[in-house]
Amino acid sequence: MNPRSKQTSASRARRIVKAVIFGGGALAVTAAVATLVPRARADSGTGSGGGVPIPTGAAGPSYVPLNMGKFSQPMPRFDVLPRKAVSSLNPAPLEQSNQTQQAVDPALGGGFGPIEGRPPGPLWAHQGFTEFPPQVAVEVSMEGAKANTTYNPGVPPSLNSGITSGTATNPFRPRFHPTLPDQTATKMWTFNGTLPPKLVQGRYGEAILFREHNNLPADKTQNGGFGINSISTHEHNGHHGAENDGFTGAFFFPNQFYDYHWPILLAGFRTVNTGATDPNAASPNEFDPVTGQPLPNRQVAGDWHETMSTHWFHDHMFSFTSQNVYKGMAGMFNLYSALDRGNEAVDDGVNLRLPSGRAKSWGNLDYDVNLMLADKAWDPAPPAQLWFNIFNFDGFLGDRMTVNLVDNPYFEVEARKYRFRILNASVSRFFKLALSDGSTMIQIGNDGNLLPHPVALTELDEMGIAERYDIVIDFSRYSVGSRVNLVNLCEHQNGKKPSKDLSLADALTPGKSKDPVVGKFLEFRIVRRPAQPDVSQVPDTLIPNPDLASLPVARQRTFEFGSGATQNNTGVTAFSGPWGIKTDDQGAMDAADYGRISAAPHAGSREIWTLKNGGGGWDHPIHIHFEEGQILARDGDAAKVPAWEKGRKDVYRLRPGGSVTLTMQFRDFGGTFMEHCHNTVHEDNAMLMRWEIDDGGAPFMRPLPTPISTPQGCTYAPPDEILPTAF
Amino acid sequence: MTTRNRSGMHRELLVLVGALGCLLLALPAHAQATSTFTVQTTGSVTTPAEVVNFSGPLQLSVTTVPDPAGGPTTAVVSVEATQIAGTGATSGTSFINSGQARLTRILAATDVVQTTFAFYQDVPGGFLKTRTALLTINLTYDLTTGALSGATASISTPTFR
Repeated sequence: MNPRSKQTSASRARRIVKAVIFGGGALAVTAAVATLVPRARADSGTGSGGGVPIPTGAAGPSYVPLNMGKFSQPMPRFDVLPRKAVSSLNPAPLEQSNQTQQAVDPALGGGFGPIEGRPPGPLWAHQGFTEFPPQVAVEVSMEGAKANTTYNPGVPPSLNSGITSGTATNPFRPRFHPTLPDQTATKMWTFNGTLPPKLVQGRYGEAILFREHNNLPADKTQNGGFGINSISTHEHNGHHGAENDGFTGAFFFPNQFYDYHWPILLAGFRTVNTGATDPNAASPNEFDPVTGQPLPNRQVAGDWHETMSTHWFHDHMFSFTSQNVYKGMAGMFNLYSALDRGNEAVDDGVNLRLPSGRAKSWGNLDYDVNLMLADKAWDPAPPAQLWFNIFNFDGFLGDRMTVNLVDNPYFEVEARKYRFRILNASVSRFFKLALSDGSTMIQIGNDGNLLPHPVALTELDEMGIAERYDIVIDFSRYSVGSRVNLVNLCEHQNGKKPSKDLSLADALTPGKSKDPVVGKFLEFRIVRRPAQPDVSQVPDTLIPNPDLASLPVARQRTFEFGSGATQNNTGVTAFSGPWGIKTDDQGAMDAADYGRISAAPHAGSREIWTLKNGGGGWDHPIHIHFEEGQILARDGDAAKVPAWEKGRKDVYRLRPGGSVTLTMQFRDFGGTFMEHCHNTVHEDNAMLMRWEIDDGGAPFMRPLPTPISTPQGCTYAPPDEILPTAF
Repeated sequence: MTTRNRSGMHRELLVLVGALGCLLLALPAHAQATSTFTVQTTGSVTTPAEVVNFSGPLQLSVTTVPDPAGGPTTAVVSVEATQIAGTGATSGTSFINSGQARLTRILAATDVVQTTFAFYQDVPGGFLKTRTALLTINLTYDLTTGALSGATASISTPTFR
């Protein structure tokens, strides 16, 4: 371990060198040249701002053919991943990483290495693997873009805006708009290599084995100028052991796989409702094949107040999360419970009956729609390939708005209630959403969790990167044939922070904003009355918060997020960048090192953490892995916590000069987790820290060693550094 | 030689003065400041059923945060309108609202902020049948301190399509 004497980092130069080394190829050089030109600006003529500079770093605005108007293509639903038998996996999943040796591609150094990239041995064995054995397998492959011949939206074309493509004879193509060329296999990397983005459906008490194959090019220069071929997939909001969390240093390489075990358990299952007697703590069962009625719910242990609903999963590769997620490494994960079962008709006294559908016992998607929002940029001329500026450390902005990875689409709806699970999957952009007629949306969830009570809003709050807002829109107030749009009110001038929120009137007025991503971006077309009566509900009470008040506060910690970070470690786990985190007011801002332990809460304990923005020039949406938090105060004042933040959260926007005080309980699993800014450019450069729970019993040790991943195998190293207040 | 030395000294002095000037320009004119105001607010919204009259206190909390990099100062405007009550002019029906907002603005001597809020009857499930009100807030700032120096507000019928 190094002493805490700091060295000034030569961060930018090192970052550029690293980016060029990993980025490789002419496009990296192009990017370098672009940064030498004073802020080349993209100009999009189709945004509501009409004619406007957004600093994408590209030589010009994203290419927009003349016939590529807004709302000229349908929005595809997510592509539902098949749920397979675990026995179909070959080789069978193991509790400890499968270290069977195979030849390693010479481009990765040659020799031999393990077939599974998960760190070996008992320290990274699946916790609870025998207790909660996987019952469902989801198998995916990370690979370059290709046509989709097996698209499954989970609904018929009539509920997917008429989309029929996605078959062998009519594939769904990897492009942002029908008038644009396909994205190539080096520019776009996605789960299974295809669009639309992928959706996993899981339910409580039914453990999923998520096997991910890395089928990216072994030659890391074959990346289209950005992104890296080693990956680690984070199940965002997952309450799982750290070995399944997508730890930034537990990455795996081409031709390896990684088995993630997602047991899907209610937090507190070891201490609360251990006999599984509470009917609210349950998982939805199937329909009885004879009666057609749902079989009784399967009750599970744990605290039902910890029930979660909307997750996402994305790459978390150290220093490359922004590039890899931007390339397409992001999907969503809907969790179903007896409370939120995805069937609006089952009336069993537990089911909240939120808009969804009724044909299946659980997991109906008819009126439950995932929306992934992300700004993108592509080349200013054909072939219009995805563009990313690897030299921008403030934050990357695109000049085109995509929903489910297509440009400014429309979506057909029936005149009834719909639930939308909205994810901000941008790199650095915040959104603020409203309907174009100023009418109401009902927010029912924030991040992964349903709120204690729904909130009727005409404008949603600014939505930070990685935040999820679950909302209900009742289209029954519109006549068939009418249209209404989702509108973005939040203007950016750069990737540091939102510059201002516009009024709805201004956002709808061409020329009022210089940001092409402000304005209408998704058009709802009310196409028919519902085929069946809408029996969905939005109850006055959803899921009350877990009561932590009776637990003593074991520790209070402070994390300040700012610039001017320094790095005093030099190993492969350390990185330098302008961004950092100061822990408990100790010394300087620390740049990221996943070999450094900054905090180590005791298993079972409750703590209060205060997250502070160290400056006024930036905003930071901070994500804390593994545990849900309840916000106690904003800027030190409990009265400043708005109604939509009174549930559980996992991303906390600080706002310029602001702070958030929250409380969490640490329980059930252990290992090495993270906390970081989810402006992923900030995260990668190097606003990320490691914390761990290491006293939960065997096989843990204190402190935990750091995994050092290579294609030839993963070894362990002692921590570089342990902050004095960590334990 | 002497002249050259003087010229060199002048250049150094000019550089020093220039650097100090740049530093002063780059420094924010004021520190982070938070101001709170309560503004008695009235207005009415015409709905298909009737006119709804509103009256009550609008609570404003504005934090102005300078950008140390020299960019525009951000004003985070927190709006709390939930204490404003609505009454149906014909029916006498009482309406509550969920008017909370946190808006990012750029600090200027005056700023007109427009936002909207949903209002509805205070009955179970009332939030499912809402109407929209337009809230217009006129803010005046003391630019030397970044503090809010004045505020007025009114409620009216939105005209969005």
